[in-house]
Amino acid sequence: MNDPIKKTLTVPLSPVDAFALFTSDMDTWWPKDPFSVTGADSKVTFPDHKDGEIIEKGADGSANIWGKLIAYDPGRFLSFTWHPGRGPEEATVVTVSFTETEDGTRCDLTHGGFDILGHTADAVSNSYLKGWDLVLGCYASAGKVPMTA
Amino acid sequence: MAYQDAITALADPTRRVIIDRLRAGPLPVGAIADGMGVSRPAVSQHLKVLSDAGLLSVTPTGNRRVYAISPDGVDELRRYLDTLWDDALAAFARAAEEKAKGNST
Repeated sequence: MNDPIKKTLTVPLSPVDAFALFTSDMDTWWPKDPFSVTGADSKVTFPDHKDGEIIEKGADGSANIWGKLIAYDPGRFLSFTWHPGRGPEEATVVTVSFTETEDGTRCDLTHGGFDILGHTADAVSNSYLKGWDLVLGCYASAGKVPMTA
Repeated sequence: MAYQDAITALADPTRRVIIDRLRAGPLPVGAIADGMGVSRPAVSQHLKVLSDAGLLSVTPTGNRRVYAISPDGVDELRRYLDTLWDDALAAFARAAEEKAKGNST
């Protein structure tokens, strides 16, 4: 259960367009209700360079850093840390690769960094729960907004 | 949904402290409440919320009740993450379809 989460989908766009939609236009499609710290009125900005930060700006003027770019290769590959609502020391890692296919672009997303999750048999060990915190880090803050969606 | 119960349960800072205390291993109520600055009945109530959310398991041992982290609850949370990407990528795919339509007209 500590394996990375893997998702694959194909979209009818060129790799460059798919990459741009995923990154610079993230605010247009990301389901901010319920997957954000401050809710549907927030605005998500996605950086265009390595070490840039993904930031959710709340309507109340708050800023929540979701993560930081590790790799940014337009039209090909993207990697960023992920810790909405938590500090960077509790970040997991998301990577997305964009591969041209006959009918568009295949996007392969991997969300990992749960490696320190222990075996189920060690469920109460420190390492297991540290890993759990990493996973939970993404959504603990989301719990503060209505989760009805 | 159980994962939502779990997220909601953990939004409370006292309950997060309780989870922290159980990291090293199962504990009875008294040891969990020790030095927390929260009354024992209040701690018991928090433990009930965490148990109901599937995050803790409770084992009666003699006249004590021993609480432990429940692996099933952890698994729920990971499934929640999985759901997030399903939902987010479905939204991404819809946006891509729209953009593709725009490109072709």
